[in-house]
Amino acid sequence: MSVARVVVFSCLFPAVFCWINTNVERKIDISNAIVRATISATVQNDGTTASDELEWVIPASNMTRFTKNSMKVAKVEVSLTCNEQKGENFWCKVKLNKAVEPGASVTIKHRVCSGGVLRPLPPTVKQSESQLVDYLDNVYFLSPYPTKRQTTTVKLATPSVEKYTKVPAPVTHTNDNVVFGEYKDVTPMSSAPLRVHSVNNKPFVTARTLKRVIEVSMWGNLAVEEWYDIENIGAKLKGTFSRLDYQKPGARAPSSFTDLRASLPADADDIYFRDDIGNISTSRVFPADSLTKDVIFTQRFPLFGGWKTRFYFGYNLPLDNVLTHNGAVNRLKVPYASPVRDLWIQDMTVEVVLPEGVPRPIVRVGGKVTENFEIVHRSTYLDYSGRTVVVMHDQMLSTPERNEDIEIEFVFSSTSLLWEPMYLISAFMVLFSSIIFFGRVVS
Amino acid sequence: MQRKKTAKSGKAEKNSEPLDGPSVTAVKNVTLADLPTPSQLTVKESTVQMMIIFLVLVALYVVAFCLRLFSVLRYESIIHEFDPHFNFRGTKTLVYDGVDAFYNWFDTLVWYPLGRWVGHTVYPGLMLTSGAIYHTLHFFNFPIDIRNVCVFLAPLFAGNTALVTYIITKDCWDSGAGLIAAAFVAVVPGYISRSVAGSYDNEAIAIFAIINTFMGFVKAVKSGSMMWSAYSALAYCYMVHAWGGYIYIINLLPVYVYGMVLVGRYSHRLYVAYSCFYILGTLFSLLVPFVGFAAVVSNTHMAAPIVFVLLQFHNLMAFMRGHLGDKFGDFFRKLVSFLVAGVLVVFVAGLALGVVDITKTGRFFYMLNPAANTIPIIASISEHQATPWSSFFFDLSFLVLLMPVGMYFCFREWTDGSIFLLTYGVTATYFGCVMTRLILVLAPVTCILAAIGVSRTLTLFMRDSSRGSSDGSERGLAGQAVSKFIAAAVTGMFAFLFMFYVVHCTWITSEAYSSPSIILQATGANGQRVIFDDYREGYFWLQTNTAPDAKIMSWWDYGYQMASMSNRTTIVDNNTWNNTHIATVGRCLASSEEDCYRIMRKLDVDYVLVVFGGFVGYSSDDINKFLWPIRIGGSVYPMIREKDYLDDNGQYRVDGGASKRLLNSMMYKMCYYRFGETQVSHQHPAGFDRVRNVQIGRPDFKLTKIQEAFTTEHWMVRIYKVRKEPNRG
Repeated sequence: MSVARVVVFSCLFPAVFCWINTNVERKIDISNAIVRATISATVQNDGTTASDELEWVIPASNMTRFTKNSMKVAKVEVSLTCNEQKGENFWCKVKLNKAVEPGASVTIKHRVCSGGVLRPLPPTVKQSESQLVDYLDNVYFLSPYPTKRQTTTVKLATPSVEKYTKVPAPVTHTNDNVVFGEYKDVTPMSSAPLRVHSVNNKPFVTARTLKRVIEVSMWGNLAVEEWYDIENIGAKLKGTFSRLDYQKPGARAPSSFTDLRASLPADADDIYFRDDIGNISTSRVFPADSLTKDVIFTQRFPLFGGWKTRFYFGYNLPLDNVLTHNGAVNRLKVPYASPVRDLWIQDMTVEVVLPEGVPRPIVRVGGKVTENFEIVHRSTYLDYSGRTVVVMHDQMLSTPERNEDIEIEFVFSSTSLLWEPMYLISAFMVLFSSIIFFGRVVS
Repeated sequence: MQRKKTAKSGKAEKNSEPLDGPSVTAVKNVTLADLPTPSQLTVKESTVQMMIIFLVLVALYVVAFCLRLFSVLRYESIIHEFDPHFNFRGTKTLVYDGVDAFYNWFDTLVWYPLGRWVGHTVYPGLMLTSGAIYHTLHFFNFPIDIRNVCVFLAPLFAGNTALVTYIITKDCWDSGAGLIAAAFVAVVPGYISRSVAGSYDNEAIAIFAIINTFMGFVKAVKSGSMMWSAYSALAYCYMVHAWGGYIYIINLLPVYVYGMVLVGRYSHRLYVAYSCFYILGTLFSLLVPFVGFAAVVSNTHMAAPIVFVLLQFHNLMAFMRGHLGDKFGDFFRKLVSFLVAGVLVVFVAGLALGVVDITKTGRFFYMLNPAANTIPIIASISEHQATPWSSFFFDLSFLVLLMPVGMYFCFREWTDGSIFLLTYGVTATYFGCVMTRLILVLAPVTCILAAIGVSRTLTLFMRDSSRGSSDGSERGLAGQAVSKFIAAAVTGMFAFLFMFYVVHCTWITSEAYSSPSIILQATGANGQRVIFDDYREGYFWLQTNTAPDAKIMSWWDYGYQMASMSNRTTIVDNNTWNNTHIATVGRCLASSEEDCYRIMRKLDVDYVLVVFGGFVGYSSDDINKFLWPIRIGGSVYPMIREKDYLDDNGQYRVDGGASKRLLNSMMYKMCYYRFGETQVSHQHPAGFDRVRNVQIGRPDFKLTKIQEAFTTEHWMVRIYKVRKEPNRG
């Protein structure tokens, strides 16, 4: 694609004004299983009128792997709309919060996290071997506008790198960073393959499904239970698993993992860790700081590439810290995704069980009101009509980025609490009266 | 006991306060107790006494329940051992798929490639009970997990057993003895062994069902009430649904009835009770698919109809004697000889036609005559071994000594109830001696008889001085002056025994009977708790990391657990219904790798699982059990000979002196693969087996047809993948 054509093309639309990327810094962190990239682009209005809209190109293959995709200007979120696919790329619209005068510039921070991007290569490794992963990208920042200056830093898990793209120069490898650039005066839509093949023995853990059940008891407790379907999606185990080699002093099984680490609120209590067939006795809890406590969930067996396991854990929280109320209006604030760190969640269901008789609540995820949930009713202890359950589905998330708060605002008067004790009292009263009746009158 | 009064004084009291509320109950008691039994001495129980009995029983219920929770508190709410896992799996099918689906359940996950028609080869009582509790609670929106229903079912029924024990003892003797019996039975180790929380097995509810049936029957005999007889038949119906041990009831009751007739205690009450019970009970037992027509044609059930016929006959005789008087004798003799001949002819004809088959019920006849047993598959089960002497004291404590005392009093005070207890006690003692597991049946009657002994003895020595000295003297033993010192000594001794009993029971429950056996626990060097959770590690690995249709071969002990916890297809399991299939697996494990591979490929096996304890010193592993696979394999396949696996002196060993055949067997190879390279501790050489305490005989060998797939943390479960043949060409 010729440069001139693209520039002309992008300037053809009346609503689109021409911009120039004066400085682009990309930081791509591939030191984990989840790839986290921050693109900070300083764009200058090269047109003649003030504009608040510019184009942002994202390859379609990346789009499906995003677990987080947010854009900010001066720490304020701006909207990024990606509806238009042209060829291999999405042409997204960035709507700035305020118009930029001609000649002025603004710095846009685009933060994306993606799961399943790093490809294990070779796809199978032996028990004692390290796992190598391959990362593919574009050396240049893909943009419909010319870029004056750009650098790309790829952060590795270890200094050990098998192979990386060396052209176009300059490409430098220092310690655990590979820096591409700085490149000057890059034409719009330039692209050249970037490839980094490096050692990464971080747990390549993914939750194929995650189900979270958050149950509010207005008597003062919040019970959380989370069901995980875990798989190691790293390089698959080649050959056999030998416990002897695994247990030998100084033995290595670098690509496997046994522990998952989660950060729970400091007042989380009664923590349990189980699976279908019972308790898993290997977990440790220790306070991390004043607000959180860390839990290490050690799985029944080490997970090598391709191995799966299932488990669930749960805990209780005092309701006071997560629920505020104003009259009959209660506001519950709990984290959205999983407390397990660095987890790529492919499919998540969150169920928030509210008290009985609550009408449809207002739900906010990350501060934004959402209607993307359904209400079901579920009967548990002493319920008559069933509790109101907010069910939300989501896909492709990663932690801790997506651990934003969900806020649920529901109406529940505290006098309704008395219904259930009343049921009990009346049931016992009926029981005792009938005993008295049969004891005294009938016999 | 103190609250005992004579019938006279009780009646007098009743008459003196006819309008008093509490005495309304007393009137009822008197009418029931009008019969000539010892319980006529327990007449008026005032409201306070009723309350005390009620509270004591509630307390006993709680004690019986709580004592069985050691395993839950120490480990977790988990299903124990082997059979309970199958029951649990069956319960889940029943609860989630419905009753019809359960009865029609053809389980394809077991006995590959044969499968098993579970619905018709199982006693469904346990599953139906749990299902009923589960659905009731869920109807009232109590979202209890089915696993918890199953885990806590046995303790719950232990409480129920204590209640019915109280009632039956009260009916046979008096309510004082009843309370003691209930207290004994609530904590007796012989029963606890099968009813701790998590021990989700048929016996857990069956003991309640047995005592409940007996209770109904004793009440029916006492009152001649068809209602109680029908109740007893219903309880029997529950028992037939619950456990194969119902055979004991259907043989004991005829023996009792026959004995009653023999000792001249025939009565219309007995006639009504038994006739009604037999007819209804047999009809009910036909309802259980697993029993079916065995209830009327099997020889193990034959005592009941024979006694039924004899009873009709006896009743006819009594009727005719009433009308014919002296002329009756001659006719009677003819009739008896005719009938005896008739029964014999029918029995022989039955044998000849094959309707009566005495070969099929191996376990039953093993029980009657343990010496005659030669079937390895029955003999290999540890709970089928003859009871060692020590376990009587272990499981019954000092009740063993007090039981004869109770029997003595039963002989002295001859009533319908006491004869029943004697019959039950004597037969249960016999079966308790024959088979370890049947101590379970013996335990309740030991408690009842011991309670009678205790109660009667204490009544003599612990006289309530406020009631006057001559009170109760008509019980026979009293009346002699007993010095206060002796009275205090005897009472003190009993108090000591009771305390000792409670301590003993608690200790045994805690130490011996509360281990789930799939989680093992040891104390570490610093006194910390070390958990060996290898079984579940291995089973869960199978569940999550093998193909859903993978077939797993192992010795049959682990079949139920694998089906339940791994959710994978097994070749043989604890149901042991097909001896040949088990023998094939035994043969495979005993053969060389090449021979076994051929068998495994024919059985389409994907994984083989062995349990190995040599790494940590877990002694009930497959190497120690290995002689049984060899014997059972050899019972079908003559090429497997036990002596080939023993050394020249007939010793079973795995060290350098072991036989070649053993060192080359599949079992040896799978257990010790690469074990020769391990160093279990510094004092011992490499490849030192901690169970056998020897260095293994063949440390270095390769596996060609199978490959190690997974070994658990402490090497207890080792799983091998069977290699498939390489593609041709």
